[in-house]
Amino acid sequence: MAEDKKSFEDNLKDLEDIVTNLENGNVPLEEAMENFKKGVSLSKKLEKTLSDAETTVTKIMQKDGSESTLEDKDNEGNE
Amino acid sequence: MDNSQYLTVTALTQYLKRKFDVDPYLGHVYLMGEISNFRLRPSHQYFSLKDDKAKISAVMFKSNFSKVKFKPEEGMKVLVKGRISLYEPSGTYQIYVESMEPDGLGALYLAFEQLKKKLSQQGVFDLPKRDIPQFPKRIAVVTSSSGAVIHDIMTTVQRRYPIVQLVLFPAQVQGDTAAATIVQQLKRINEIGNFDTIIIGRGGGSIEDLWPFNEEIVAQAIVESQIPIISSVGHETDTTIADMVADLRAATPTAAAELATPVLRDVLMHIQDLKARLANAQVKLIQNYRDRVRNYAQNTFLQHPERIYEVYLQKVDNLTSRLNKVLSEMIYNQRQSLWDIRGRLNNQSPMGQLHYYDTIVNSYQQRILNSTTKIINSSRNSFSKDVASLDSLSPLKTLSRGYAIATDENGKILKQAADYKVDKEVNLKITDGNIKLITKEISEENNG
Repeated sequence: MAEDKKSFEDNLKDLEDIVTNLENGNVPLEEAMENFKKGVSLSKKLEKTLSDAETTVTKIMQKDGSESTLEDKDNEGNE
Repeated sequence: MDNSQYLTVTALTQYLKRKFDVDPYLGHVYLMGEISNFRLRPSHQYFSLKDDKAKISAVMFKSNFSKVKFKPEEGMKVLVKGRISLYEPSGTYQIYVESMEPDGLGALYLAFEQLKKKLSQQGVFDLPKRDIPQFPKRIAVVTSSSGAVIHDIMTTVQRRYPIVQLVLFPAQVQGDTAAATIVQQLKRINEIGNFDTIIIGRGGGSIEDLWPFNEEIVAQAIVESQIPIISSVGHETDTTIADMVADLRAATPTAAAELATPVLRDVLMHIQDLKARLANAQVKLIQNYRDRVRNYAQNTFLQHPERIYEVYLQKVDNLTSRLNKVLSEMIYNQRQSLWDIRGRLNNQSPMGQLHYYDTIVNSYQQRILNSTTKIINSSRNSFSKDVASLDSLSPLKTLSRGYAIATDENGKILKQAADYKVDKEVNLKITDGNIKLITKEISEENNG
């Protein structure tokens, strides 16, 4: 996978767990504050990851291993 | 007849072979029969074709046999195309098979069923499917660079999740070399490694068109891939081996792209929603704690802390008075018994005895005193007598009668004439003083 630290999935799962946990109540206050902080920073991070990611262009892998941009020729033929 | 009229075996055989080879019909024979004596050999195949009443030997050369997609089996009814010729060394005529089809079902269909059965027996279809990553960063697509497949995938991804990097690995998707290029690209993607998902696909077509996706090497490459694969081959009604072994099957390339990507807007909304819920939950939680604190603050004891002690104060009072009572009782009792003992002690006083012993001691003292005085007196009397008698014996007394004691200058008493020396001083002690003399002359009396 193209991931070295925690993946987006993991972070999103963490955020969902934190929210569910807090919604269930019964969390010691200090732990709740800690979780809340973590949750806020996670949600910011996740949002930033998505919002900052640039719209990409499809590449084509050439035989020699170089990548070049693939222009989308409108539907020619039906292979 | 001479010998020249006899044919050699070779000549006859050559003649017969030529008959076969030039025959207009035997050069292109379409033959239907049942396979018999078939045993797979590494290169050329030798077997027989038969029906109820007849049998013909058959040979199929390696180059032709390699194009047969299915595996011939004993008893299988087949349609073959070939030519009839004669094999001179054994003198047998046989059909040289150029192509072979299963009777009834198509060859490809049969091959498909055979591979499906084989893979099923190997347990390939039961292998655990890998999860398709929910939020991919890079997706590799293996398909033709000119087909509709890549176009559909690109537009779908642009619409849903434009932040993912699509990389097309161009491959032939039909024809004899297609399977090899698909396998090669799958291997290449796995070697490069940094892809989250692979989509392989091609559009609809005949079973021949889709055939590369039914090849065993493609199935093998899909199974061996470390990266999850979504397969979308042909139309929804077509199912290929590739579809069956892939981790996920999509009916169309568009569906494949949808399965491979989330909708960015939905993800963002989900995160927004989580944020809102997070804030809500936190506010609620804090409110809850605040309520609890307020409840506790209104507790009677916190409002009137003195009430906490009241009970204790009473208890202490109570205990103190009980303690005092018990203590004074104890003191009273002790005092009583002390008086008691003191009375008894008084009764047992040794004063009388003391008086008694005192009197005795006094009387002894008096007696000691008396007797001592007596002894002293008597001693004193006897001493006076002794002193008187001693006095009469004292040289001083003698001196008073006119005697003198002579001594030299060292105080040594001079008793004999020899003790004296002429011109030496002699001290004389007389009764009332001392006189110093010088010796003038010494004369001894021998008779003493």
